[in-house]
Amino acid sequence: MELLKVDNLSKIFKKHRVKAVDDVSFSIFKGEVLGLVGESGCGKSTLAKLILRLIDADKGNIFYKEKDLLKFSHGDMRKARKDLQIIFQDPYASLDPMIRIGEVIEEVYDIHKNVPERDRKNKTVELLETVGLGETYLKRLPSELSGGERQRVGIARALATDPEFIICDEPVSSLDISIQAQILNLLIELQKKKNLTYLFISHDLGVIGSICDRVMVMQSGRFVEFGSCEDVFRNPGHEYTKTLFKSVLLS
Amino acid sequence: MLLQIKNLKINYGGLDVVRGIDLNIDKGECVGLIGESGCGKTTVGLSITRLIPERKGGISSGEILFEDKDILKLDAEGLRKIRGKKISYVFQEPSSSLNPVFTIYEQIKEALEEKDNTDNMVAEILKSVGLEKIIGKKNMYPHEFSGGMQQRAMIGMAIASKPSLIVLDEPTTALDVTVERQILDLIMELKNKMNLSILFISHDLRIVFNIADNIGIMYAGKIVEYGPKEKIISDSSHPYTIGLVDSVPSFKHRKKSFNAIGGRAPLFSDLPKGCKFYPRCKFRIDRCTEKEPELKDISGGQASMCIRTISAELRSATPINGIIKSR
Repeated sequence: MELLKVDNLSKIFKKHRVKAVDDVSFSIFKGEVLGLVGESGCGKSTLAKLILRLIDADKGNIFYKEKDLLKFSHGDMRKARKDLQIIFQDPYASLDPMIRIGEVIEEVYDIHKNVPERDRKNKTVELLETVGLGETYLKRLPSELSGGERQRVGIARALATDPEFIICDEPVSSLDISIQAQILNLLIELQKKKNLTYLFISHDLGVIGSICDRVMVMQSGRFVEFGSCEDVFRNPGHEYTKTLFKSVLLS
Repeated sequence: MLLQIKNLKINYGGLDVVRGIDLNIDKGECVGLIGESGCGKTTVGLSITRLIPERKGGISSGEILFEDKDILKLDAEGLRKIRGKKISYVFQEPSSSLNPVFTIYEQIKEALEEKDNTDNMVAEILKSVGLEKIIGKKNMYPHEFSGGMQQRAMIGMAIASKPSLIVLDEPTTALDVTVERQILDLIMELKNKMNLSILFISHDLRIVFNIADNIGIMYAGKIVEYGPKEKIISDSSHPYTIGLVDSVPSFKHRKKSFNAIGGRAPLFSDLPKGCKFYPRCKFRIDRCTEKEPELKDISGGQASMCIRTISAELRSATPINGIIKSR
């Protein structure tokens, strides 16, 4: 089933006259991990923000379960975001330094009202355990956590609404390599267990190759190559993809 | 031997963060130093010309012999003759290393030894770092450069004094992959042309494998494994190195779990007894906690700090989940 379908989506940053996302179309199927790879400034994160309507598109359509997200009112969109979540790159910047871990997650229930008062604590503890943390983390501040642990909190927060679709925007690129492997393991495990759908954004072809089913290669706001990971990795077609592969070392 | 570091110990505010390191760099050799955040690799790099701020603490013991002179015994004048001249540095973030209010031209000129005929010399340096385009454009400031060009300019400044050793501390971490490749190619080209010695500090095995002759793996302030790069990658001996190599993401994994290292690096204020990697190690035995092992030679220039011999059979027989779950 097509979970998300993007048609001819464009975003122009007028002040800089940059076509950040330029007439892009693709679909994601339920339970799939779709990779999005490209270098800084190619429009990867802009595309992520467009899908969640964190910024407004100039042109195009985004269908989620066949409903046009761009026609949603703000209230409807807020409801839809229960299903559409995001994990950000920098676990240091995406957690408020003054808010304890338990509250970070409970804030989600305040917004979405998806958990009754009496179940809140249990649900929070359960979420923390799912991501490899535990009850002891409830009262901690982000400053007491390592980068990997913070990213686990970011994942728990995204899972708090039981979403179907998660955008992972470079979730491992600011982590040390041993921690990166732990977080990738966690993301793979969650995806299989909950049959989640990911749009997985990364600049690292190694990471993309290890986790994704299909991959889109983006350059200057456009997709230059699109296909199953097997095909693209074994036999890259576009010159830019080939250049990327030449730059990746030992993989 | 150009540089010999012997039993170097560095102390920050009462804590030993470099706990006894030996490292040699030969003329024209590139040594890679790999480790994760906070393992002490940058501190080692900085200590070579005593760039560690005094207020933080300092080098508590050891020797750093550069061209057979102990850098730790030099006075300010002697140090100045070496720092930035015979030994130069390139750091991670070029935009914060360059001075924003001076032009690139002036900054490279400042690094030159001789002060005559500087225009030609700057032009020559710009050419050798692949910045031919800006020769003659004297009024360009760092903000007009892309990250890759800024890093080229930094490398230009580092080679301007014709050093014999360059310390490169994560020089490509802030760059895109295609630019990273270009900068690594440039470093290799200069190394061969000028017979440079390089200490290449990085967290990324993939990069170091491409550039270094020998690799040292650092964990909790010590080198736990050292050897020729092929040995380190394909015949790694220390459990930490094995874990690092297995953690490198690649197409081969295809959704299989990574053989990741569990837990996190210990705090220097709370180091475990015995082997410091013990709590995260899947090959551990009780004897590991008795005392911290020494770095022992294995063969062919490879040395490891593990008391066990980890054979291929043992590797495949140990289940992935043998590691302690993250706290």
